[in-house]
Amino acid sequence: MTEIDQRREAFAALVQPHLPTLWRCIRRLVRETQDAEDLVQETCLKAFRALHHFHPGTNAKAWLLTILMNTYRDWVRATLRHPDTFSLDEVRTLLQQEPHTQTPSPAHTPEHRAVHAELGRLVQMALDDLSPEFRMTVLLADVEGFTYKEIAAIMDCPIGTVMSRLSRARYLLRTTLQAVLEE
Amino acid sequence: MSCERPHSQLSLYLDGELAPSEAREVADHLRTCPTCQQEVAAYRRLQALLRTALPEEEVPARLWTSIHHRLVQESPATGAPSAGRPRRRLWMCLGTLAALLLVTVAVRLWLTPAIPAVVHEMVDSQIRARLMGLQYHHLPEDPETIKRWFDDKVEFAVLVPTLPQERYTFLGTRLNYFLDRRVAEMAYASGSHILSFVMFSDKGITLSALPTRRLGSRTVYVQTYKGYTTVFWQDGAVFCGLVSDLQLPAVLEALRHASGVT
Repeated sequence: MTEIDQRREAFAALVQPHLPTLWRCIRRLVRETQDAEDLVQETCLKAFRALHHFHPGTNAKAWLLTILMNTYRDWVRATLRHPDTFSLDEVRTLLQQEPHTQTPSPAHTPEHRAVHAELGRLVQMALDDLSPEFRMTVLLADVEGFTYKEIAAIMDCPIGTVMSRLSRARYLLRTTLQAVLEE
Repeated sequence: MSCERPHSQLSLYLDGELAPSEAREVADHLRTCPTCQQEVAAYRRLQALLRTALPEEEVPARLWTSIHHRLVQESPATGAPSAGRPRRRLWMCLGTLAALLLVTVAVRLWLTPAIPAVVHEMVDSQIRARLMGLQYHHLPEDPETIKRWFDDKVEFAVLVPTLPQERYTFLGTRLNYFLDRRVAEMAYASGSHILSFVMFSDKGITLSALPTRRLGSRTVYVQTYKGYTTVFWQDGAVFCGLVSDLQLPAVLEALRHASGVT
């Protein structure tokens, strides 16, 4: 096995366990599946090139998410710089991505599945109403379980911004989902 | 029934971000305050809902295959030894090296006499703002208030210089924009001159073409352009700078006085 094969193998072992997280996060930000795939691919390529910067034993998931968020930001900037490839409405909604169709998770009965899918749709709609920064902050904290410090590094912003985004995002979600939360 | 305790503290408590002594204090309070108990319960319900209700989407099976394919394409550039003929590869390497050297020298010669973009963009933004009579956002000269003002506007932690008030009057803050990035700006008046302190991300900018000066233990980059003096220095991943129609010694003098940023 050549050196580069070994490097690729080590990279696969490092990245593959976190691929579902990268996919989950980017799908909450990007509407088109093809765009999401391109962004995850680009992220992996950048991570591979920067593999020598990664210190084994540190948080690989946070490192990959940081690269993913940078890639996403560059993509948004590039897309806004060339708005001629988009319709006006698409540009307007670029930062307010609408929900995408998702596969509901399996459940025991058709009734349970239907209720769960409806609940999921409501939560997804409430999240999609938030700006991408607010959405990612609340997902990184409440779904992925990152600390404020880790979120600040991933989102490339001060901890104070993480706190204010989180507080505002949770307030908005609680307002939108009040009926569901009180059930 | 209501409670004066700020919601943000409950958030910090739930997220495990409080110091142990503060967390104990909040836990004690929670035992006796029904309002805060309700708040905490509502937060927990929301967190549980986000964790369980959101639909999971399978990673497309083809995704890793595409990534792997691109990694294989990437290999030659990342230095993998290939099975090519060594002699031919040596000539190719030497040729590439010579071409790179030529391009570097040409670019260097081409760039050296020019004023770096960061300098003329910054100076031009000052001139534009003056011509258009753009106002500063008036704030009290309090570092915390100023930092809060910039909190949602820029993606880095803003530093606030503390300059002697008898010589420099704080005029206010402004969000500037050049070289595709947001720039935090704080302005001070010194007599009839304006001295602006700026901060911006260092992404894609290099200052090495600028003349340098030593100021204590710090290296600063200096350049005058269109009658304005600019002084830059790096602080982590951001550049800080002073720009003014004051002469260089006066700007460096201000920098010597500026605590909080140096």
